[in-house]
Amino acid sequence: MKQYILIILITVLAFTLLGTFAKAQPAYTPHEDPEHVESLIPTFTYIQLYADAMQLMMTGEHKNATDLMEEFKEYILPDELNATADQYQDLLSTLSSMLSELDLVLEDAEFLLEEKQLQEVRNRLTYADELILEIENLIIDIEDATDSLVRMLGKYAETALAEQELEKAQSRIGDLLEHLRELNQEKLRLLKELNVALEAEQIQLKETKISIDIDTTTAYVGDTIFIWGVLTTETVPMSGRELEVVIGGNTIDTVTSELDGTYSSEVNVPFEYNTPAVLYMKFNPVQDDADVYQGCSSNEIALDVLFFKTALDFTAPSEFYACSPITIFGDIESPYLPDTEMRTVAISLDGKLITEIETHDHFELTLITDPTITEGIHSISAKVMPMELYNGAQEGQDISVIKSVPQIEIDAPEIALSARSIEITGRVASHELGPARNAEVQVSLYPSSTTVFTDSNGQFHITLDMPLSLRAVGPQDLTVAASPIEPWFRKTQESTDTFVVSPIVAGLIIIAFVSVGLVLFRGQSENKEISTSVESAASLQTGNGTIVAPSPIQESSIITNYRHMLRLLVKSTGITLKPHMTLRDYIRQVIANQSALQIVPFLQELTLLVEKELYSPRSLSPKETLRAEELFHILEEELRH
Amino acid sequence: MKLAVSLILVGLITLAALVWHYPSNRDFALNNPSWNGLSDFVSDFNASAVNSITPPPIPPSNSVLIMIPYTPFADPELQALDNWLSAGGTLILMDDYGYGNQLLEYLDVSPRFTNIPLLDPIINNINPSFPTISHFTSYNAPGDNGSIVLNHACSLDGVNDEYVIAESSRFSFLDQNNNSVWDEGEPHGPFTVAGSMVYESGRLVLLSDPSILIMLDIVDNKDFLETMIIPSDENYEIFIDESHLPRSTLENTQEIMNIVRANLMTPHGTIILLLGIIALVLLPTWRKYDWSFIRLRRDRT
Repeated sequence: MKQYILIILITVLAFTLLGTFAKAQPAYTPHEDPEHVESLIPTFTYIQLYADAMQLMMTGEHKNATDLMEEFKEYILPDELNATADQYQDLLSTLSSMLSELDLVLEDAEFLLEEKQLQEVRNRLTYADELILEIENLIIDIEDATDSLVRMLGKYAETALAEQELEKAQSRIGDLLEHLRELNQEKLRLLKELNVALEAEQIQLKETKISIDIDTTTAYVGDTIFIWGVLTTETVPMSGRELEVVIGGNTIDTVTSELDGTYSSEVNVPFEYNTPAVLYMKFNPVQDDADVYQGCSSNEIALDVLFFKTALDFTAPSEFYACSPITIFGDIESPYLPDTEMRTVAISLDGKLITEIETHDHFELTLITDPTITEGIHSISAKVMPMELYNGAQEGQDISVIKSVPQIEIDAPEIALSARSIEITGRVASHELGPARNAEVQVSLYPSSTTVFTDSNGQFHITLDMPLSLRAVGPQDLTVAASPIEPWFRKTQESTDTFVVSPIVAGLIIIAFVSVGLVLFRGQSENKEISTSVESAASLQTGNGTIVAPSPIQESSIITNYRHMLRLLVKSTGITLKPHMTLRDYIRQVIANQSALQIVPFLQELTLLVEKELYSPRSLSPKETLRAEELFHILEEELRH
Repeated sequence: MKLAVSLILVGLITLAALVWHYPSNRDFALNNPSWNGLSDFVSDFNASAVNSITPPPIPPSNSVLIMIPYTPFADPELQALDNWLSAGGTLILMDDYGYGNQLLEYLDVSPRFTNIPLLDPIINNINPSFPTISHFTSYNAPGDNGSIVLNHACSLDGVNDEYVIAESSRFSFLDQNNNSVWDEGEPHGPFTVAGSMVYESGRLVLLSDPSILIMLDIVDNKDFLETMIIPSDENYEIFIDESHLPRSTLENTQEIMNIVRANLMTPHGTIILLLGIIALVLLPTWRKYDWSFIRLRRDRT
């Protein structure tokens, strides 16, 4: 019973203590388990942000409004809300871009009005008028969409506070839309004002016209073309006015009109390799003219710009070992380029210029990259620079920078003695890139560790001193870690098994085994002692006290049975019969130890009979022999049970 | 009686084995395999623990030390970290409302952890306490349109623009009165949540939430750590300081057992242990053995 209580106590104690240990954690709450956190949809905050975007639109911060709405896209809504929210967001984005466009168009119109480009102003104002109408319609759509969205978000407003905040947000959006509508009306008023100003300018300023003619509509880059025309106002030529020559949107030259209003000029086609290029003349009234004349632009002429197209075929390896040499190739096709003429090729890695070379049509270049280049994908490109009639060409490709993992060959003993030195040799090398020279090699065999450097063949030799430690005995991992200095090599590590034997520990283990063997041996010798005691007792002769070894033939069956009985008795009581004991001594010891008391009378009676057999000159009578047999059976029965 | 003693012995050994092998469930424990432990991080980043930063790991130039200072620094520790950083070490300081500012003040650098909860009611992963961060310095942002998720983070103050690595969204705010909603006057984002600066010959990386280490499988957190926080060069060895993390009784017990074990593994300890085992084995024989023959021999002589 006591034992069961003890088991229960120990078990309870163990689990109580473990529970205590497990609970002994800091009481901080710096984080929560993401899998057990309640997800929240801050509905009112969400719609409030649309209001913020509208606020930005009102103040003309359209870019910020667009950025803000871009960030909305990261917000994850329930599926049923996504479609509506996306549409709502599209409406707001369209509104934002239209408001922005309207601002730009009106600003442009104002600028052009100042430049007296009245025809252009008229075009801008017509477009602005269309935009204002569209914005008005869009605001109405957004009002409807707001109602829908708020209604849907309302389902997720779980508290009265959330509902209240949602209503407030809706109200704010309503106010902002009303303000946007007013803003649109303001733009409309501005448009009307500009229209009035335009009409006034049209009445006040004289209309001008400029014509253009060209000797050719096809020219090579750098060629000179001849243009001419006339600037007039109400059929009267305008002399001494500065006119702009515009090609491809850039003013490349100016020319002054003659007394008869005509102008003519030789113009160099710019080295812009785009075709066709739009060419026109432009008159901007300045100083006194600004109060008298309208500005004007000529017709646009499409100029076919000719040039020789350069073709580039560029090849680079798809990958290379960091800082190892790489060879790149390129073929340049420059039609009709004289052999003596060279093209300049710029080679760049990740957009950074590495080198420039001069070549006619082919290049082959071996490069070594910067030692700091990192592993991963980079881009390499070749750019043929434009040259006079030849345009430029650029080709590039991704290139992977890789590192090789060198192999480590280890030559170490499979069995090592602790508290001794171990010789370890090896080599660090790669099949493709050869040996890792001067690489740091760290060899570890618990608990020792030593560092050496490889020689020019990548070989290393280490003497590892092993201390005496119980943990260092048995199968151990011999680890060799190499850190090559060549940038194309990676750090690497290799392991092998070594069985470590400690002489001292082995000796102590042998002692332990010998001790156990000793115990077993003593167990056997005790059994032997029993036999020896009985035999000793059987060999005693009365009178002279000499001890004579009995012959096995002379031993009677009663002695044999008695020996057998004694073995059972020793096994049962644990009390051995020592060589110095008489049979009576032994019986007394059995009685003294309170062992097998129920058989003591039988044992004493039998012992008397055996002593008689042993020491009496007369043999036992048949009756005594029978009694002895009976006693053996009784005792054997008792002792076996 | 013998059985009772045996049972107690077996019970104690079982208890010791359980304590020895019971995994820690402490926050940021390296051997804690549950959600708040670093076992995944350790295996993914091949990181190892340091139990003292005096001295810090060597060589500094090839070492990355991650610190989550839940407990204050001692003066020698501050001095050691200062020297270590100056010698080229990379220190990643991840504060969780702890003692990060103590170190920053000692290093006399401008950034500070605000130690105020950063909430983002809009751009978040689960709820405002799990802000999603998607604004990174462009040159090495994680993945395409990548983002990371923090867990009850704070923010960083005083980080120069050039040192900023990641910022929260404009919708985030610092919940100064801890009521979980934005109130008039509470600062709103974007806030710096990660920054990196050069300190003497070393590099000081600041992150306003260490929980990213225990949420590697959420969005691009692991990619972020690999590309922007922890040097990807294989020459670096990554260490995690455990000396400033709160310890549990379980861990203290395990440490005591570890010390005992370490002592037994020494040559002297090994010999004593083996002699003890031999003595225990021989004890029954010693008791049973009849030493009277020695007396008899004495008597005869």
